[in-house]
Amino acid sequence: LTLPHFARVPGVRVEPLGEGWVAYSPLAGSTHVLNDSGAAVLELLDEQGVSSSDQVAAHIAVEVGLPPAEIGASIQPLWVELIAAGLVREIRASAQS
Amino acid sequence: MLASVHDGPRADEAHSRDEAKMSHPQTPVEVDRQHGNSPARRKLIRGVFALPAVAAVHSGSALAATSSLRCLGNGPTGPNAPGVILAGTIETPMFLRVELIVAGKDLSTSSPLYRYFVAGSKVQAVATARGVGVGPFITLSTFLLFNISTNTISGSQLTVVTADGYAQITPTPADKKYFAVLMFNADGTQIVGVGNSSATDVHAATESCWTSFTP
Repeated sequence: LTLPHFARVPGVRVEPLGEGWVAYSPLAGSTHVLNDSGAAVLELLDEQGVSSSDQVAAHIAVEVGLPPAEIGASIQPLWVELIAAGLVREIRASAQS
Repeated sequence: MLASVHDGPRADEAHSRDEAKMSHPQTPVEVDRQHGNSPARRKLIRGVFALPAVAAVHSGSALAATSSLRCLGNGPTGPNAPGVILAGTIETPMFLRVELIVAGKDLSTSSPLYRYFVAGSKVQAVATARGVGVGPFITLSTFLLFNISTNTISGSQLTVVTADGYAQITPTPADKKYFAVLMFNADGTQIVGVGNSSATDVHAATESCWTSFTP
């Protein structure tokens, strides 16, 4: 049994642009626009290192004061998009519990 | 240039839990200290978390391809290809073209004869300059006889232009210096012909159209 963890792709650059953010992936050679929530997820991965979706959700939940389960449900669909954009890579790790 | 971002829910649609706020009391100072150098998270509003959104920014080339399709789609097709252009003529619009090679015989007589050819090397040179390929209608080292009256290719590929007693004329006299219009495939990635043909899925490209997607 494996539990997906995620890591920011090395070299990804995130810069503010107007009210949003732009992220460049050297892996994909492409640029994407993110809103604050999307950029926050990337930022957390950068600070926390390899993290599971639940761990990222827990951090954000504390900061915005919302239940982790709600944040988790919101960010769950994001991972596929971030991976496809070359901004995040998935790391399969053994389940801890 | 920028693709539109899928809008996250408005603040009034986003998750909001007063109970949660009460259960996680934080002062702004605490939040700032916690975030450190985290500009994205500093912009998050307590009690609100919009759905994360990611949208691709289309590259210039992708936009160019879209633009080229539109430009070419509006251009003349094979059965209605623009005619040959005499050097020094300023036509509107200007179409991408290739200079024809001229061969002649009996030039010292009162009835000189001329033949015009499309040279594969010249087509390739244009293609290279424009960053496109060349279809199989001509190769780098072959020539195609071209009828400037009917604006069509005649016969198959030749290795020389000197058959039947003709000799290439260089430099080309000004009154014999013609250009034939190049025809592109539907997505603008390949030169597939010159002048008129029966093909409706080939298109002439104007210079202005071309420069609009190949800056």
